[in-house]
Order: sequence, then C-alpha cells, then structure tokens
Amino acid sequence: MELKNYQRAVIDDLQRYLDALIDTGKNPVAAWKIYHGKDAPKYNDKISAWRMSV
Amino acid sequence: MKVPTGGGKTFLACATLNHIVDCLSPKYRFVIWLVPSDAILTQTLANLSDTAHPYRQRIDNNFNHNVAIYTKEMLLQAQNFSPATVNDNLSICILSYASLRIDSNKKDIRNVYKENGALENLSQYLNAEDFTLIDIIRKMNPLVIVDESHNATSKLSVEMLTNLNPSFILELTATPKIFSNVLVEIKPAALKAEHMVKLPVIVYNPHDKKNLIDSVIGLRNNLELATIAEEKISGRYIRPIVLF
Repeated sequence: MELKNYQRAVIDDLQRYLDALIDTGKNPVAAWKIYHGKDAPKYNDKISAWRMSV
Repeated sequence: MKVPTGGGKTFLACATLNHIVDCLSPKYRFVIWLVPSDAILTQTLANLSDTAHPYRQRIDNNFNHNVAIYTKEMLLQAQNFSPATVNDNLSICILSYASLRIDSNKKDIRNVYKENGALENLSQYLNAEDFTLIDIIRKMNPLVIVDESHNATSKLSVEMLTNLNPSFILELTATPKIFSNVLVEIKPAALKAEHMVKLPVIVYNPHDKKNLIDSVIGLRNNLELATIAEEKISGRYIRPIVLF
C-alpha cells in the first residue's frame, strides 16, 4: 500500500517539526515557533502547557 | 495530527515511526500504541501482527523486519520480552487507555502497577526501581502513539500519559479538542482529491434506530466480504467503514 500524496505531505511536515526539535535541543516550544513561524498558542491550563511538549 | 475519518490515520502512524525514531535516536525503540476501546485494540493488534497486512509491511520495511508486537498480557508474562528483544527490535505494545488508567478497579488492569517476578530480569537490566511493568515502560522512555486522542484529554488521561515518561507523543484524531496544538491538519478536500471518498451516496430515513444500526453493520460486513474477494484478485486492500 503506497502513501497518498497528502500522507506524504504530512510526513514531510512532521519531519520538518522533528528537525526543528533537534535544532532547538528538543525544546518543543521553540521548535513549534520555527515550524509554524509564530509563537505557540498560550493556554492557561496545565494540560495545554504539558501538551505543548507533545 | 488532525486527519479526517477514513484518511488513513493508522497507516500514517506506521509510516511515521521510522522518522521519529531516526530523529530522536532513543536508546530503546519502544512504542506504546494506545487505543480507546477493546474493539479498536483487537483490530489494531490483528493488523499489526499480520506480516501480510499493509500496516505491518510498512513497519517491517522501515525497520528491516526487526519488529515485535506485544499485548499487555505478553508484557506481564515477559513473553518474548527481554533485554535482547528490546535492544534488537522495534517493540510495539498495543494497549487500551483503560489498561493504564490508575483509578481503574479492574484487577487485571492493576497488574501493570503490581510487582511481577516475571519481569525481574528486564527490571534489573534497566535498573528499574521495582519489578512492575509500568516502571519498565518508564525506564524505556517510550514513543507513545495515541489513537483517537480526543478521547484522552481528561486530567486522568494526561496523568496516564505523563506517567509513561514518554520521549515523544504522537496524537492522531479527526476531531482534536480546542486546546490541542495541531501540528498537521489534513483537509477533507485532500481525501476527495485522492479519490478516498467514493460515490454513490445513498440517503434514506429509517424510523427505527436499532434496525438502522443493524442494517448498516450488515451492509458494511457484506462490503467487507466483497473487498476481501477483490483483494484476492487484484491485491488491492480496501477497508469499508461505518460512521455514526
């Protein structure tokens, strides 16, 4: 079973995020900023803060 | 990852594993694959255990066939679960959310947190604090796949995930909660462009809910028989699904 084009695009995006994660010393918030080109959304609850590291 | 229903979330997860492992270079290639229900667990386990299934073939190809699939019971009995196997293989443990939630009253569920002599060898190898499965998992900093992750957003679920001491968590859902930080989103139009949404669409309005459900499940099962027959002829895998 081959990957669909949109699935390849997803993997490319994930790879881009992973590269950013490594470039930032596995700092998920900094990687998010590089990946999206903007600050990560800021949420008040602890769940979201933790999920930022996901 | 936000992927519409029918968009191939499981196949995508299989295809991402090597990217994550290659990038993070974890000491142990240990994956906890969490699913929300026993039905999905059975299906996922069957698919990933079947070396002829496209999901498993994708993983096998990416990891040179050094792949081991585990159930909770296999882990608890240390069945093919040893220092050698965790060093040599990509180990994938398919578990339900419920099997790890700490407040569960089910006796077999609590076994994950119980001292277990069968795990002594691996515990000592990993310098785990005690002979419990949860401690062994924590020591290996697993990569965690959360299937249908919109079901794992409660405080208890987050504690469960944190308690695994994960090195990375990949969430897959068609309907992320509003506070989720979506890394990648696939639009339904992308599925349509790839002809993943098929015609015809048949609409009718039955009055009895039970008959409706029986009817659509029957229709789906008949379609599955047809697709199995088709796969034998063309080798093309098609999975009929029902959406409620």
